[in-house]
Amino acid sequence: MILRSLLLRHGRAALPKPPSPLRSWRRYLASQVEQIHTNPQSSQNYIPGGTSGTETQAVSSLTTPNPTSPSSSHPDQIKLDWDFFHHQKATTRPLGTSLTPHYKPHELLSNPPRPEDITLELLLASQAHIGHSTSLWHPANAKYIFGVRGREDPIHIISLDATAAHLRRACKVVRGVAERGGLVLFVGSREGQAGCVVKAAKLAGGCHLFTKWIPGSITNGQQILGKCAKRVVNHLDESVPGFEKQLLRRAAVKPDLVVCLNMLENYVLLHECALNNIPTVGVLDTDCNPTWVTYPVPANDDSLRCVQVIAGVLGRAGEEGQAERMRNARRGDYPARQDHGLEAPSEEDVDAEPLEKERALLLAAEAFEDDEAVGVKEGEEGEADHVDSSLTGAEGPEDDGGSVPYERDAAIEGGADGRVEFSPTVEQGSKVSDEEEWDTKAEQESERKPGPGRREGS
Amino acid sequence: MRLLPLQPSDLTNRYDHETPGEAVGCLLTIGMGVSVMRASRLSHIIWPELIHLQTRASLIPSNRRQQQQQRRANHTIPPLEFDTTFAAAGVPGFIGKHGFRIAWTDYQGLLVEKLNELTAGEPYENYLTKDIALQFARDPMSASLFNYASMAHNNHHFFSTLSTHPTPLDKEPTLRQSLINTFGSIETLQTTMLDTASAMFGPGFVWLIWARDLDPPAGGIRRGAWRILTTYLAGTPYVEAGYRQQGIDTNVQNATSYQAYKNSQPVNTLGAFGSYSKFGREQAKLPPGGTNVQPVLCVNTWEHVWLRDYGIMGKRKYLTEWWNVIDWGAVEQLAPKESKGTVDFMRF
Repeated sequence: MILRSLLLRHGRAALPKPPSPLRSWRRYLASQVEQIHTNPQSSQNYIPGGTSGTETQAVSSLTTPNPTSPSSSHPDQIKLDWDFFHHQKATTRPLGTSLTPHYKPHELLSNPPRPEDITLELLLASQAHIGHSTSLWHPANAKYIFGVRGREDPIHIISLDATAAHLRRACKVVRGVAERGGLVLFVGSREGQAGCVVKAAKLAGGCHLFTKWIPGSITNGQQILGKCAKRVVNHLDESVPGFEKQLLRRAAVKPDLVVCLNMLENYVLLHECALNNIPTVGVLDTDCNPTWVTYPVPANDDSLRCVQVIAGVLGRAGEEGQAERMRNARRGDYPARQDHGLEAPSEEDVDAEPLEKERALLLAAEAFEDDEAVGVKEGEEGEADHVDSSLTGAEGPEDDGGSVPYERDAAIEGGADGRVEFSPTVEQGSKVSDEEEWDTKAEQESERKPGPGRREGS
Repeated sequence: MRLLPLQPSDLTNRYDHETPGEAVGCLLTIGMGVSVMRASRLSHIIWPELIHLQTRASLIPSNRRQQQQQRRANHTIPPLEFDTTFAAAGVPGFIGKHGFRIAWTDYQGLLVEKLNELTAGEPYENYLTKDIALQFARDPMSASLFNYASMAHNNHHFFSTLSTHPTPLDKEPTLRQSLINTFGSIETLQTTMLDTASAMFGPGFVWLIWARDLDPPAGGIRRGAWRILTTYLAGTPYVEAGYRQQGIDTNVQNATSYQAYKNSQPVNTLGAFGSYSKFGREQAKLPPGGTNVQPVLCVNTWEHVWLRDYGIMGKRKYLTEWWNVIDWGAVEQLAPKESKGTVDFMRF
């Protein structure tokens, strides 16, 4: 619809006329109306400039509207436009016909199916029954195979009731692990699986991996995952401060359950899990080895739709488990025995925020440099006013001696006045005047330094 | 009712893929048309002599027949809030039950059936009706598809504002005041709308729409007004269906002003995506000069709606009766918030 200014097109004759006696026969109203009036002062004046507007005024409103920059428009205009657009969409789009429910691919990610939605029809429509060529099969999973399809190039058909039963069992496992505060790792490294893997991990409160598994991430976790972030949470999943120092020493957390969507490519991951007694759930195609996983789910791992259904369903199960755990935790019903091996943090650890500590250290370092420069210029007149106590090292925020060597600088010698004299000369070799003195010196050094044997006291 | 005889050439083993029920189905001719009665309705009657009769269904190759049976309908007749009451007793004070059957049950069923036929197997088979209408509005090869989609949408819109117990406009004061702000009085609105509908030659729809202004006043909020819009036949009131990428009415322009308009259009594009980019300009949803509209009320002036109850001379009476049965509560639900008075925002 294009707005046409009646005034321009037809002139004043086109505007609504007041009722005249000639036209009264067309009126069939109950009440008498004096005149038809348009309110030119009203905000709803649709003819720009009103009835007495000029031509250019009317034309200018019909030119191409450039989207106004946000700065020039009213701050609420965006909200109003948004509201109008969504109201129009909600009221007018459903009109016409009713559409029967149908498959929308994006819904597998935006609204994944739940464990109670597992039906044979869903699995069939998701191509979960399609296996590989019969010549490529693994005979160990013969019990999951329904039959063979095709005369030339036959393929195996996976039995969908086995799929449904095993998938429901896997859902129970995931829900149970999540309910007990376990960590579930979802792994799917084929192309296109990233979306469903991330979504499932998000729902279950677990972790995701959609790229190559680095071999040794569990068996050599201290090396490979030594620097990854760790945090301590309480029963309500809130971060608890004060454990940062202890966490620096610990390796990355191992998952309590691993869900693998492409077993053939992730053999190393599944082997590492088995070595570390981590149960695994895997999508088992007809050419996969069923002994690689603890809870196989016989299905088609080559169909992205099938994999998204399985990942979605397991994610939903994890979500239910998390909800159950939070419900219990809020009631106060959470396990008291915790085998994490952490010690309660000391008061200094809890009070001082790590950021503040760093800031204090930086300030101290700067102050030290300034003071040192001042000391050199002024000679012996060392001002000690701006010396920070941390320079002396007497009252450090951490009292640990040497457990984390890089965290704290060595105590600065020089005493309380803060003046340090650097002696740049290097002892290249002491001239020994007497043999006796040399001997005593060597003896003293050997007494001071401990032997090359193992250190006492860890 | 008569039954067609069996042809000798058809004595083949064609019942291999059929269920026993299908084999009993027979071809019946009833009056004007031919309808195939499904076996499910006849299964309780045992007609052994019919088992060997030729069936219309059996003439189609069996695999194609299975495909036809397995194809489910994407579109179905949408439910109305009062459609069971209307089907039994008609719309009170407006049209009778036979008129409702013609105007809604049969006609909407026809539109739905045609839509299913035209969209089956196509990429747009699961599109909503309004989306189909907007997409194919200016595609001459899909004129039929546009017509059926737009007509289904308009017809549903018309019947959605009818009710067994319509709310009078006095019960919706904000809407009433807003209409008076534009039209001056409700009588003016009624007169204008019904006169417009009466003056339309041929079938169509007359809409009451809320149209938003193109540009808001400087620093202010965009305004709007109520307007009355006519669409002929199966035309759609939405501006996204138009394609005239022309911001001025060339009937009232001369060469100079037209050249000035052309010069005012930017010739360069900006960015890889967005409304200023090349793709964005081509895909402009609103044609220049178009505005965003929200239709809240419409009257269907197609003859098949009022012919049975009012006769060929009764269009005026039909329009008058329609005004009395409008459910203004439903209209108020469709009206946007900004049309019903000032909108206040809470500031924190």
